[in-house]
Amino acid sequence: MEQVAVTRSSAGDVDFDALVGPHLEAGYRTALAILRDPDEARDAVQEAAFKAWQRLRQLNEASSARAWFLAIVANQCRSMRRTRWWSVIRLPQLESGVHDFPTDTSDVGRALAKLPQEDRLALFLHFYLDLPLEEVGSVLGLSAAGAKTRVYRAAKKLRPDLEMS
Amino acid sequence: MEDLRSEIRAAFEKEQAAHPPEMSLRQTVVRAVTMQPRRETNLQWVAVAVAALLGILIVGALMSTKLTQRANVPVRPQATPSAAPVNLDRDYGPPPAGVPLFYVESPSHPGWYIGFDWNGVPGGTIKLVAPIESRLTQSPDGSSFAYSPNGKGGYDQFLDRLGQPSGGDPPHTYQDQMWAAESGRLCTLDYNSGQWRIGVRAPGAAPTSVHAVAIDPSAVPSSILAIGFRSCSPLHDRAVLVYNYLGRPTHVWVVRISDGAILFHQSHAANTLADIVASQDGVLIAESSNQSTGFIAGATAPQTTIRSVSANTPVLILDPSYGVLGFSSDNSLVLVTTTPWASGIKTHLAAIELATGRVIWRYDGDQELAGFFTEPTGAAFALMLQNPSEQSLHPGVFVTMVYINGVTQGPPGRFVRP
Repeated sequence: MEQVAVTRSSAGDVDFDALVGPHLEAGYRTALAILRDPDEARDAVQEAAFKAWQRLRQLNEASSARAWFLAIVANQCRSMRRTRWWSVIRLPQLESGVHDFPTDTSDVGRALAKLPQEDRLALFLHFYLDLPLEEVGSVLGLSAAGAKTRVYRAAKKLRPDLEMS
Repeated sequence: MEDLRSEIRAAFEKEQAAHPPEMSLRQTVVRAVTMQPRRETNLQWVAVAVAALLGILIVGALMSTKLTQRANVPVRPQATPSAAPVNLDRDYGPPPAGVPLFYVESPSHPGWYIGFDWNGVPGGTIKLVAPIESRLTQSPDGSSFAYSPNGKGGYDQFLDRLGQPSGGDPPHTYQDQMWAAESGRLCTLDYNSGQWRIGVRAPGAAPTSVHAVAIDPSAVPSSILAIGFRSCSPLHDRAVLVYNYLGRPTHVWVVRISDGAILFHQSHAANTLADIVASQDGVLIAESSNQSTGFIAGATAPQTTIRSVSANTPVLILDPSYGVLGFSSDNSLVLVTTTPWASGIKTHLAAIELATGRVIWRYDGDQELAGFFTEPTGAAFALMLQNPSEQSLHPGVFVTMVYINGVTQGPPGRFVRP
C-alpha cells in the first residue's frame, strides 16, 4: 500500500496539490468508469476534490491518499446516481448511448458493460488502476479479504470457469 | 487470471481512450478548490470533542424537536415512547409474526439485526453468523429481506422473518424490482425482445403474473434504461413507473398490475424535475423540481407538485427547493428534503401534512440522511441519520421516528445501517 507522507506548509496547512493532485486523473477515470459520462465525471471529480479539500485533515498519515480520494470520488458518483435516482443497464443489442461511449464487441467487453456498477468498480480499481486489494477495499468500504472476494466474484461473472488463485 | 486481467484492462482502456482527462485537469481543479475557504480547525482533538458534544446535542435535539403546535391533529394513540437505552448486547428473541418491524444492525454484534416496532421498542433480533456485506433491504413490514451478495444490481437472495434463507434466484436480470407494499411479494419489471413486462413474484420464485406494458419506445430510448418502480401494490392493482435521466424528458406511468394497462402517463421537459415519487397505493405522485438537487444548469420546474393521479390536479404545491422523498402509508404526510440530499453533507428535512400543507416537523441538524423506513400501515417515518464524514455502505446511524402529531422519538443509541 502506498504510504503517504503528509506534507505541510510552514503555516501548518496540508499541501493539497502534493497530496491529492497526483490522484485527480485516477479520480476522473474512476468517475468515468462509474458514470460513463465525461461531463458528469468531470463534475464528480471537481466536487470530490472540493470535499477532499474540506476534509483534508481527516486523512490519516498512515493511510493512502489515493484510496482516500478515490473513495470520496466513488461516493460522489454514488451520490450523483442516487440524486438522479437513475440506474443504468446497458444492453448489448441496443444502440449506443447519449455520450457515444465505445461499444466493446469482445466477449469480456460486453460482459463488463453488463456488470453491476460496484462489480465494475472493483475490477476497474484492481485491474485497470492496479490498486492493491487493500486499497480496493478502502475505496469500496471493505476489508482486503472482502475486496478480494468482490474482485473474484466479479471476474467470475465474466468468465464462469475462473478459479480463484 | 492473467489473460483475463489483460482482457479487462483492454476493455476499460477502450472506454477510457474515448474520453481522456483534460491535460489541465490537475491545474484547473487544484486552483479552483484551493481558492475556497476550508472549514476545519487545526486541532483534531477539538474536532473530536466537538463531534462528541454535537452527537449528544443532536440526539437530545432530535428527541425533543417540536416546531409547531398542532392541537387539532390527532395524537398517535398507541405511542408509548421508549426512553430506556437499547441493550445492544441483548438478544430480543425471534421476531414475532404479524408485528411490523424496522431493522438496524447492532454495532456490538455484527450480524445481529435488531427489529424495532413502530413505538420504538425492540421487538426481536435476527442473528446471522456474519453481517450481510451488501445492502440488506427489508420488505415494508420487515417480514422478509432481500440482498444481492455481489453488491448493487437488485435482489437475488432472500431471508425470511427469522433470518433464515428463503430462496435464491436463478440467473436473471430484471430491469427493476420492488417489494410490494403489502410485503411478501416483489414486483418485477422486465425488458425482453423490445417489450416491457410487469410481474409479481414470491422471493426466489419466477413471476406468476406477467403482463406487457405498452411503453412508448421513444420515451425510453438508447442504451440507458433509467426506468424503475416508484410504488407497487398488488392489493390496489397499481404500480408507478418513472423514467428519469439527465438531459431527457421525465416520464411517469401508472400501470394496472393485473393486465399491464397504462392508466396514466405524463411527461415533463428534460431537467425540469429531479424525480417523481409515488404514494404506496399509486394514488398520489410528487414531482420534485430539479431545484431541490441544486441543479442550476437550465430551466427547472418552478415548484414541487404533489398531484392526484385520478384527477390529474395538484393537491399541494411546495417550494421548488423541497424534494419529496416519500409519502406516509396513509397518505397524510410527505417527507421532504429542504436541502439537496447528497453524500458528505448534512441533509435538512421536513414532514409536511398533506391536507393542510403545514410543516409538522423539521430537521436542521448536522447529520446526513442515510435512509428511511415508512410505517407500513400508519403515518410514521423512521429516519436513519449518519455523520456526513462517515462515508461507507454501513455507516453508524441514529434513528429518529416522526409521528403524525410531530412528536419525534427514537431508540437511544447508535446503530449500523443494514
